[in-house]
Amino acid sequence: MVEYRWQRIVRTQTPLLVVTTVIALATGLILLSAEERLLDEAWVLALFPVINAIGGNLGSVLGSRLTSALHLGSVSEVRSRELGTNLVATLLLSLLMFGGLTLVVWGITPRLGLGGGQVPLFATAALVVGCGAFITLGAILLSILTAFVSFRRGFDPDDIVIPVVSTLADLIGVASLIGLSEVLL
Amino acid sequence: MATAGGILRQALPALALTTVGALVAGALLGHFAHELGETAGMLVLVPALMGLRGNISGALGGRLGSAAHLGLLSIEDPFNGTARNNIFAAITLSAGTGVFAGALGWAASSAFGYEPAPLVVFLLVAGLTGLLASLVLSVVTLTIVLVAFHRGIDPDNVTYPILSTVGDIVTILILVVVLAVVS
Repeated sequence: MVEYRWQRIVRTQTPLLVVTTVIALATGLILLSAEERLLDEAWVLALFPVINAIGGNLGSVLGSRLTSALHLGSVSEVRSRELGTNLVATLLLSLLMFGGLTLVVWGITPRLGLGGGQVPLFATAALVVGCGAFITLGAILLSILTAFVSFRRGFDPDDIVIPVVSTLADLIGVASLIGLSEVLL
Repeated sequence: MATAGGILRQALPALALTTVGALVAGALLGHFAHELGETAGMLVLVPALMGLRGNISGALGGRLGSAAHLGLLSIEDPFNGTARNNIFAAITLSAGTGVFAGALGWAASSAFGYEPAPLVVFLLVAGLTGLLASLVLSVVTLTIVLVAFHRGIDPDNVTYPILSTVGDIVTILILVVVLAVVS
């Protein structure tokens, strides 16, 4: 029978949290480097939680499905049909979510008083879909990599994949948001 | 074997729900951008503080879901030993990681020449936000798990999507309130 003792939980989670916090602070430094522009154009800052939420979730869903498949033995090689099906599903989800998000952002942003005024649909789409493409590809590669590597090294991938993938996906999301907004706006 | 369409049908509702939560969180972040900007360098802490939700409360939700399946939680005695140990661990980790992020975030933004607000402000804001956010989110997590399990729903399927929907909003609101009180 499992017994939950807070000391053991704290000991288990601390090393990973140190790693994810260091990566998250690197993400924060990227935000800070663009602070003036982000405070003026607050709608770009407002995009960061949602792009990261979608990217992190796509990676987490793929990662969870992969770790279960690894445990069950239905996926053992990177080249397999089941992994292919999961990749197609992840790409379709990404396309639907970031496509929809473009329309929501374009329709809502000018009404929230967060700066930006009338941003053309093309620039909004290029920004949102561009960030979406970077974060989706990053999340896919990272979840495959962390799932296989942690499983083969004898760790339980469930402990590692989601925190690592969602934290690194945040970094990719913020870097592409700042970079693309500089180019496009 | 699952098909791409099947995965899509199951994942899309949860993803859409999370996206609505994150949109609200983003709008709040944009709305309070100037309050954030007033305390120099605070922006560096936002990703780390928002990340606590997934890494600590998400793991708490996973453990409480397993504990419910093992019969270790009960809706009649919600704060039993198992629940207390799990929640205390989450709060300790969250406050501790908050203070760690505050110290390291201050050091990094000083090192990169951003002239941040005093170290004590960083420690207080990050530590208190971590503590209070995990207090609220732990109770939310326990409630979701207990209610879901009581109604015959597998907590593993619903806890994380609901948690990530409310998590960002709770974290940003608490950060803004803590900032206003500390500065």
